[in-house]
Amino acid sequence: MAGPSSSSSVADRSFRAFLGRSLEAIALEVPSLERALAASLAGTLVRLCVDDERMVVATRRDGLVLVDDRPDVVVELATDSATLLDLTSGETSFLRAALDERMVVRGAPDEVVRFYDSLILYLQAAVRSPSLPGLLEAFDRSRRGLAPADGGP
Amino acid sequence: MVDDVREEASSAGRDAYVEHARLTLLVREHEWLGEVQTFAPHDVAIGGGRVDLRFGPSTVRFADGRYAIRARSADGAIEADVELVPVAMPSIVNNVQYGSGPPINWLVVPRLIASGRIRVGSSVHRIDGALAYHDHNWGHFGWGRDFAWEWGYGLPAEASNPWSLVFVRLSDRAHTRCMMQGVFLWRGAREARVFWDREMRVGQRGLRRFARLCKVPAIMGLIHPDLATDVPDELSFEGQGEGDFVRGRFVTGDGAQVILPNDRGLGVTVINEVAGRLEVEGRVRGEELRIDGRAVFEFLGR
Repeated sequence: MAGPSSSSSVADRSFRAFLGRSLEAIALEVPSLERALAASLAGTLVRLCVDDERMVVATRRDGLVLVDDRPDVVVELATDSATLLDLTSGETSFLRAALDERMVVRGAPDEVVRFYDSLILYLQAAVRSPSLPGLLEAFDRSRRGLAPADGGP
Repeated sequence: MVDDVREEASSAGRDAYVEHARLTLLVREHEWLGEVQTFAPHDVAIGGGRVDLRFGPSTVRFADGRYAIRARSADGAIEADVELVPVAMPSIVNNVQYGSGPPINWLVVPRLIASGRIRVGSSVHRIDGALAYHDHNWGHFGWGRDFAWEWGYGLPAEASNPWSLVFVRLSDRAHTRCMMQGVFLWRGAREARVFWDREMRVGQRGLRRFARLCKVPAIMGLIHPDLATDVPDELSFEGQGEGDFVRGRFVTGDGAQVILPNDRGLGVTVINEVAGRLEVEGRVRGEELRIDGRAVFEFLGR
């Protein structure tokens, strides 16, 4: 399960808060996929650079945690929240975003492939988690400067 | 609108069930556009024993002999306010067994008269007396089980033509074993003939290569970005028996995909919604029938 370092207050509109909440929802709602995700990334540290935020995804026991930036990562993904929302809304694809240099992944080829497989696994878990659509909508609204929808997080 | 009770592994390791309320909106103007919205329980109201559903701002109600549909996409790009008056008797097919597991049930109303308005972006389309189709499925689908379907409806371009048609075929996912197939024909309000199973022959020609596919929900396009499908260029069917016959040909046009995560495993089930042209001819009880019009066929599971 996502550890305390990924938890966040309801008012926190950062990408890290969104990702932390989504990992908590996956741990609660699709625990088998959380375990698969942790196994897929076992021992790997991935740096995420989104807008001006930096964080590292690490594994702990059967789950994932978000920790502060550290130097010993093997893969780095750099993008912005507009690109992430264009991806989830079907406006662009991973390939298009990479070709347009809106998303950059750095690392040894084997590690990048492993990270991509884990990313797809995260999405597989996300689309099976009943809470994720609401979390994603809240993140989208926060990025567009809109107030949270009624009943939203 | 879908009120979907799906299996889910609980943290205690036992099977549990979780209820999802979803609204799928698909429109085809110059191209396909759509979305799948999910709703929290407090945003959903379903009246028991009648057709009365509210998912957020979208509603479907049946009262005074007509369906009233109001639907709105989350971003407001699609809005529909339509009334549909059934003008043909429904047909109900209960306990359709496919693969292992519980059966599904299907109620079809092949012909309704639609009026109202549909807005797509800034384009408003007024609808006045258009022919329409409605169905309602319920049961335990178990997405990912070993089944597929091909389904479609045929309504003539002219409302004065009394014939309506529904085609259905259930098979295993590899399309090597047919579990059920049929063509239902209505003349006016009444069902005139059903060609079943061994009275039928179904064929396919070619493979449609789509240059683009609208995928909903959009996020599923990241998991299933493929454009390759095995939707045929053309689906044909023929029914014959007791002096009656029907022959039909659906020519595939463009399409969209509704993509569902399977209940078990990491696979997905793809429902290809395909617009095209349907030509049908036949004879039932000595009377000639002919349908030539636009149609939507659905190819599931591949």
